[in-house]
Amino acid sequence: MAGAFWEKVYEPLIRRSAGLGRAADTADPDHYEKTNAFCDVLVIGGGAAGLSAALAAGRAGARVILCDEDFRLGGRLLAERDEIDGQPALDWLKAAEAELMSLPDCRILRRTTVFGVYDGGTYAAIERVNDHVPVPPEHAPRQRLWRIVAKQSVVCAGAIERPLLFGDNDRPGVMLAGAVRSYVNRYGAAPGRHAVVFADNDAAFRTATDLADAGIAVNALIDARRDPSPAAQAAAESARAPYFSGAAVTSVRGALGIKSVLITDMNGQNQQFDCDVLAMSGGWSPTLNLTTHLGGKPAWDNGLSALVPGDLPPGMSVAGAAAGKFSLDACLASGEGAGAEAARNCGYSPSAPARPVAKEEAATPASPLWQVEKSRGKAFVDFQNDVTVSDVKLATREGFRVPEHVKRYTTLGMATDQGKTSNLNGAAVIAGLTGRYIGAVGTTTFRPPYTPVAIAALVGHHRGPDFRPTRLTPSHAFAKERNAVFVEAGAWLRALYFPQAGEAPQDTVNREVATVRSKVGVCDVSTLGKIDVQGTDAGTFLDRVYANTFSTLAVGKARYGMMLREDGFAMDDGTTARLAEDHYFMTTTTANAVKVMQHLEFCQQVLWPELDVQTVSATEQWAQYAVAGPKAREVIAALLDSGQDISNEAFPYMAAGSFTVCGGTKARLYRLSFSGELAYEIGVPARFGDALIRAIIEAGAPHGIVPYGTEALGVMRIEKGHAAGPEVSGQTTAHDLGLGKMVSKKKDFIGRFMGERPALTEIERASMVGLRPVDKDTRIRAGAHLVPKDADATASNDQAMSPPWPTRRSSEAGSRWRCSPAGRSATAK
Amino acid sequence: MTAAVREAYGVDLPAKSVTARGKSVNFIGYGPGQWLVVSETLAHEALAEDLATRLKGLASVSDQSGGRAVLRVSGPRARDVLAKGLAVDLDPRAFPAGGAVTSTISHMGVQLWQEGEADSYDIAIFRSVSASFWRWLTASAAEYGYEVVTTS
Repeated sequence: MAGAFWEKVYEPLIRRSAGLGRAADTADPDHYEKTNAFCDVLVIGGGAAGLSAALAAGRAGARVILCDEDFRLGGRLLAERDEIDGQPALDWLKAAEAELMSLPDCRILRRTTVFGVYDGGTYAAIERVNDHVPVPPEHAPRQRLWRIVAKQSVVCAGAIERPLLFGDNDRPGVMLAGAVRSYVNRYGAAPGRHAVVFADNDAAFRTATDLADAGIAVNALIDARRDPSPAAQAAAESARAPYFSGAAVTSVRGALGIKSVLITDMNGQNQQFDCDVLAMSGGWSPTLNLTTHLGGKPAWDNGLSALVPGDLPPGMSVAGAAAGKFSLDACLASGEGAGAEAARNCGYSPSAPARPVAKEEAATPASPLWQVEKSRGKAFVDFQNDVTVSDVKLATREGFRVPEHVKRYTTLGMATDQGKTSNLNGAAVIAGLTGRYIGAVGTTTFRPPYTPVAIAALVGHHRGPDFRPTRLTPSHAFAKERNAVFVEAGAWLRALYFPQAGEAPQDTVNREVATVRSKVGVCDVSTLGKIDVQGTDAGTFLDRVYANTFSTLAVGKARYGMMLREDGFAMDDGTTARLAEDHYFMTTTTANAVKVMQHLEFCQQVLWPELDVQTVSATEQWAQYAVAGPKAREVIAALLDSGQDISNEAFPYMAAGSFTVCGGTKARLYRLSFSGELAYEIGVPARFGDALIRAIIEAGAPHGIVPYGTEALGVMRIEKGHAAGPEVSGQTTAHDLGLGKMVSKKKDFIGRFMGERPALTEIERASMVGLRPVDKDTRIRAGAHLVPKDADATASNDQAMSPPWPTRRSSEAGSRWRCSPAGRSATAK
Repeated sequence: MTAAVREAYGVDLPAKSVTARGKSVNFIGYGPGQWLVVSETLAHEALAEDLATRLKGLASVSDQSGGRAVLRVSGPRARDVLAKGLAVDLDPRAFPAGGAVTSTISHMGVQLWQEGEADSYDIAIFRSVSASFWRWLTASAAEYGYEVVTTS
């Protein structure tokens, strides 16, 4: 009852009030994609510094990519009323953008955030191509993930303003001073009718001038710094508002929107000012996240009261506010310098800088306030995760003194913004509480992604049927027409069985097996790995990679081979035919085709480069079908062009040869049997695969031929006792599989020495055995227990693996693995 | 072998991953001592047989004509389309005319070489993945618009 109440009432209530979203329950209808780009210089951020860097590098002839997360280039230039070269900065911006767009090798990616830095100059970026429209245009992606490889990068990611920590600083109407200026200057929107500005740095008091010029009343300028600042005083004068230095906002009135603020001046006197917007600023933190993704640690700059980039990844430089250069002129200068240097490092020769100049204003140093001690109400540090100063205090009282621990105790900085506005303020509060210097407290580690990235963007094209490529066999269309049920075998789709109307799956398989055994059937075995092995040393090469011998194989014959791993365990098996003195044709299992090819290439290139042998995969070249059953010879003979003999004498068991079929098509024929019946495998170039299966069906029709799938194939090979993938599991030896006699004693080969280790030759090792059911009418399911005939079905009679396991040496007593040679007479009950 | 190839096909075997155009056949280097040979005139097994005859004792020849599908992607946005799957810089500054590369696109192995015009690339893929590759290619090209031209 209590559980249901929790589930139905409390939890939904808590989730709703916590603002947690709901997971989508339908598929994302939009298209996402991934792409690659390469450049000499990647400029991250399109503000004053980034534009200068891109221009400097681009003018030098470098291939440049400029990424900016906004839909419009310019960064803070769009939100301030700056001048460059004595003209409005927006004019310079327009000219700079036009010039960049005119450069032949400069790609500008707007709405694009570089969110990760990886080894080898690799950067990840997310482009929000169509996030701003409700439905993306047809064929256009919603988002595009960029993998950018850059020889050099210039991080011009700017800075993020910090809130001030005072009581009720989360009330609607309290906002960052930079946000207020963006509303007013960039969007021409009034954030309120009358404002108060509360800050500890000169830049923020420009807000008062901007507001007043826009016709919004400014009721007070509250400067946390003890000494009056001339710049702030000038701003107060232009806004005709009182200016208080050494003061602070200590409380905010108004629950749904602020109505007034209470300030405490340097003498401890309180005054109230009406306002519906409070612009606050605790200074700016350089956006240095990308500089730390490969392990670099930020450094504390006491003069700036900010963390600045420390050690940088190879090929990266930082300019502008991200480097702690906050003035516009410093942004322009450092961007230009870093862009030119990056181009130079790529081998270009930038011309002498012709950089624009912005007026450098004399500023009174910021003196960070960090925290208003005497304020009442909750002072939020992390606005997204609702972590307050008192939460951090509780954490330190509990003994959490380093940011990583405080973070985990309070969730400070763990929201989707990853502490962009709160980390440094949190560190400052910890420093104050633990009596340490803020630089010694440090910060948490920044990891990719810098900004949340939709999983769909990381997935791109690879979802649904395109999750991974599908390999289709040459007979796929034929099998589909015949209603085949398909099974995934690695990337391949293979026909599992071919049901007829009204047939249950087991009936189909039984029918297919019965038909092969009584008449004839055909199965697509093209998925088997096929490797062309040529060269004068091909035989020697195969002797070394196979446990058995191939150099003695006669031309025109095939042989079953077992390949071991270096550690002596079975790796793969298959038949290999000798087509000419210096030409073998190897087959592998479907599952191990790639692994065996890699193994052979390793052997050839690393172990025995002196051998004259060449290998190449021919899996895709040949469509290959097994034709099996008592009537197999008649079917094959009907396909062969006249004058070719495949009688038992002319083409005996394990023969291999070239023939022509269906009027001149070259084919390879192998007298092999995996099913245990009279059988041939016939191969033609894959483009004839579809035609050949239809020709086989036609030729076999008088004999009642059926196509059969891998399930029937599995039944037949198990009943014949042939090992396959499930048994060659990487834990079995050739001996375990009953193939010990194949392992040559006369030659050296991969796996021979390690295969002779005692544990691999121990008599009591598990080994593959065949079982016949006592009761043929009852199905034995996988995992069934085996007990001796007429014995009780109890654990002590269980013939399968039972504790203790693993066994020790055979001389020790105790019950153990029973499927040893002595236990082979066990019958299923 | 170099001499035999020059004699038979009038081209110097490339030692790098580039296309060398000879009489009726092109040799594309894709590994040390390995070349993919393509021809627009010698069809299917005829090419392999021709090579095997002319290079007897000098090289091993394995017919791959049935195992590969070859597509040509051309046009001003060809590189933008290919970039959606191929992590190789095809810019002329980095990829020379006639350049060749063995790589993967959307988890499918490809051999790609630049052919003819600057914005034209030939791509050889395994026959079995041609449907999956086509889905990737058309999805990637859709935003720019594409036309399918078939050859014989």
